Order: sequence, then structure tokens, then C-alpha cells
Amino acid sequence: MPPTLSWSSERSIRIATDDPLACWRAIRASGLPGVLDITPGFGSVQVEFEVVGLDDARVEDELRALLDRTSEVGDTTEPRSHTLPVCYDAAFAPDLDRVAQFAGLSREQVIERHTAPSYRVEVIGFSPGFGYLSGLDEALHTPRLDSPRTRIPAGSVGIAGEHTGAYPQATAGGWNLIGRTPLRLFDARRDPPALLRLGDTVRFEPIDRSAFDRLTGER
Amino acid sequence: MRRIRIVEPGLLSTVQDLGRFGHSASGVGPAGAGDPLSLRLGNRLLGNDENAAALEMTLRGASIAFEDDAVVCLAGANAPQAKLSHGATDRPLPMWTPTPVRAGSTLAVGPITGGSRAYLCLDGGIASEPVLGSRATHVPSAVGPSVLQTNTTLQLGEPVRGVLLAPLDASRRRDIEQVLTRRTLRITPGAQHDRFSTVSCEALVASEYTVSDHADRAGIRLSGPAIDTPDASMRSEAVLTGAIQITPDGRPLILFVDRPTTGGYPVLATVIYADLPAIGQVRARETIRFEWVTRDEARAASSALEKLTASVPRPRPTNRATRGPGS
Repeated sequence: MPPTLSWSSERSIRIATDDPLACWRAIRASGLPGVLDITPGFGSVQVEFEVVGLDDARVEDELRALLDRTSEVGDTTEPRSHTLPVCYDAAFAPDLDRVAQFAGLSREQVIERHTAPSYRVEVIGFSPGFGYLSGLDEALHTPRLDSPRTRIPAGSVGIAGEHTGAYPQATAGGWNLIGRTPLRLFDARRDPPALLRLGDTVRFEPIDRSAFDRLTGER
Repeated sequence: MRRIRIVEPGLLSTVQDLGRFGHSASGVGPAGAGDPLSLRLGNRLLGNDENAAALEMTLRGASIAFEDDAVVCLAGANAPQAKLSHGATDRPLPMWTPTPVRAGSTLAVGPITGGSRAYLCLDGGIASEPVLGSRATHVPSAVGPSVLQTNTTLQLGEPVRGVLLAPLDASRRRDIEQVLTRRTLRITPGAQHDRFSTVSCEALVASEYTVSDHADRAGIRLSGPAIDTPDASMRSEAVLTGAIQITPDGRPLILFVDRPTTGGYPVLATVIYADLPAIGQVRARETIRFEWVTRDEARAASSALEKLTASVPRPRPTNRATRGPGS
């Protein structure tokens, strides 16, 4: 499906595409003038422009030309692979039983199936550094909680629908929590600030509580 | 470096510039001044860069101790009781007026009326360490400077020396007030507009909405007649400041400067750039309306706003000494 353009305000264009990552990379690498920000989402990319001096027809033409040759101009950033240690102890996993029950599996089987795949960072959003990881075992697809928790600890690893991911900050959230990683997933003073980048691959590695405490102390 | 100290932070006081852009793919939202027009103009009146960081204060302002000389300018909604004290003398601090402040003075901003946010701009700007290219505070994710607390000290940057300072004239003040008190917000179709029925599009502009008590820098929830939303759930997509999501209960939610980068509710419309400063000044329980405009009309409105901004004179360096503290 070729990308389609539509204005989502007088200062932004939504590009519907089945490859947001390639689209985002191409626009980022192009140095298109007047661009304030480029935001990939599921099935789309939004380009926000400086409102002053914006020329509709010119911007549309330039974006179309760019998207026609996405594969050539895409930047060459290599996706990185991450292994995130996760402690699945009951203290960190208030919803592990719910996920297990939903899947008709034991807690151990849930952990096995959660740590088996290599996931892909499909979208980063919701909060700084929060990656929506795709590739979750279908048996583990679990609807989000009916009412979100008002505050969940940073590092919490959760499942919602077809995605898994880890919360970089203590925030409100409605995902089923099944463990916690001791890694710092976002640090504004680090470059780049987010540990996960779009297109990266992620594996989860089970650790016990003492390893969790040791790694928390080291970070 | 010159410093100020927060004696009492008021209801919610933060450091803000015009926002943090270019990091949305890492999930970092823009933050920045809720009323960017007032911030820009307050900075212009001081001879600062328009993007210089200032103190944003909400509903009840801060009290601030000046450890060094500075020139300040209050911009935004009114602070009718703002008062500068030095020793036994008190004097009011008028809005939109660059005012020299001597070291040892205290400024009590007091209640903010006629809107919800006032900005204390300072000559040289607040010189906190930029985070990802900006000094703006994103309150929900704690990116940027911390929310101001009692005894927080802030350093000021190098001021523009030797400038003549003048208050904003009455005619421009009226023009600015018109922008900030606009309560019919102009909108253009949003990212998921085509998923809504014509009836829903008409419903959004047919009635008044009341700003609920859940209105903050992240978003403004509105109460009023429910709007039919598409049944199919959507996956998260990019959002924009001023995007109007329709939540599952049919109520509009205007995403604001402390919004996340993506959202999972369909966006029916987006408030035009020129009316974003007015959103930064709405108060809970006020009524607002929406009005569809074309993209061209939206552009014309932003051009008019830029023209108004550019018409506010910047003080120019002169050969005379600063009409500053002690002179």
C-alpha cells in the first residue's frame, strides 16, 4: 500500500503507511525544512511543521517525492539488540496470575513464553522511552485492566493486548504487570535518552530477586 | 551568576520556554509555556530571546526573593495584587511592564485573575541546564527542571545591557487580551476526522462545553453533550497540542502541552495554532465553543498573531546606561 497524506491540522500531516519506521527514517534523514517533529505511531507517521511560512502544495510534493524513494533515502541506523533482565517475582507481578488464567497456562509457562521471543520495538509513545513491543506469544494476549492503576513503579514489565513493554517512569497505567526490570529505560541526560529505539529488537531474560537487587544497586 | 530563590511556589510554578521538539520518536512530549504568546511578548519587552525560559505560574503565583539585581516583566493573565517589597517599602508590579528589581527585594505575585497563567520573565532568562535542547518542564514525566518548591534557586542568564525599557502600550494590550480571552476556539479536521460521521462533526460545534475541574497542562476535559464516536478501537497514533480526542464516553478532551506523544482515542479536530494561547488561559467551569475554519483561515490567523508579536517593540541597545537598579 503506498503511503497516503492527509492534513491533521493546519500545521501537520498524517501519513498512513504500513511501514512507519522506514517512513520516519526517510523524513528524518531528508532534512526537510520547517519540520518541528516527526512522530511514528501504529500505521502512521505525523509530521509537524513550523506554522509560519508553510506552503501546503510544496510540502505535499516534497513529502510525496521523498516517500516514493523511501528505501533509497532511509538512514542506515542499524537496529540494536537488547536483553532486558526481568525479575518475575510475585512481588513485582501482581497480574501474572490473571495473565496465566487468561492463557490457561501456569505462571512458569507464562514466563517461559514471555522470555522466548525476540520482540521488535514497533512504536515509542505514551511516556518518554516507553516501547510497544510486538511479537508477543498469542496465548499471552491479555486485555488491559478495566481500570488503570494510578501509579505503578518504574521498570514494571506488562502486557496489554498484543503488546508487551516496560514502563520507564512511575506513571499511571493499565497494563497487566508480570515483572520488573532493574534497567534504567530512560534518562534525559543520556545520549540517546531512551534505551530502546524504533526498530530495535528486545529479549527478556529471567533473573532472580538477588540479581535484581544487585543490578538495581549498580545502575 | 545572578540568582533568584523561590520563597513560596504558589499553586503550580514551573520553568518553561517554548517547548522541546524533535524527540517525539523517543516518547518525549513538547511541554513548554501553556500560553506561548505571553511568554514571547514578556521576553520581547525585556530584550530577551523569545524562547528564553521564564516562570510559569498557575492560578496563584509564587513569592520570589531576588538575591541580585534583575529586570522583570509579568505577562499573561492578570496578577492584580503583585507586589514588590524592599525593606519597608512596597510597590505594585504592573503587568506587561519591564521593571528593575533591586537585590534583596521580594516579589509576591498573588492571585492570578482573568485567565489561569502568568509568566514572570527575567532579563537574561532562567539559565537552568537545557535538557534535550529545552528548559521546559514536562510535569507528568519529570523531563526538564523540577516543579518549583520552596527554596529552589534559579540562575539567570546574561542580560542585554544598555536598553531602554518601556511598558506595552494600551492598544496592543487590548489586542493581546482579545487573543487570550477568545472562548470560541477555531478548529480544523483532526487526524481521525474521517472516522467520524457528519453528525458528530456538526455536534462538536453545535453546543457549548464547560471546562471541567480536570484541566491541567496535559489536557482539558470538557463536559457537555456526548458525541458519537467510531466503534472500532484504534491503535495509538501521534497526537498534537490542541488535538481534540473524543473519549469513549463521548466527551471531548483537548490535549495540551504536557500531553504524551501518542494517543489511543480518535482525534476529531485540532485547535488552530493561533488559538493555543487562549487554551492556556481557560479556567475550570468556563464555557467554550468550537468553530470549524479552513486551513487557509487558520494560516491567516497565525500570520495575524505573528504580526502582532512582531509589532511589540524590542528594546534596542542604547549608549545610555540601563535605567536599572540604583541608577
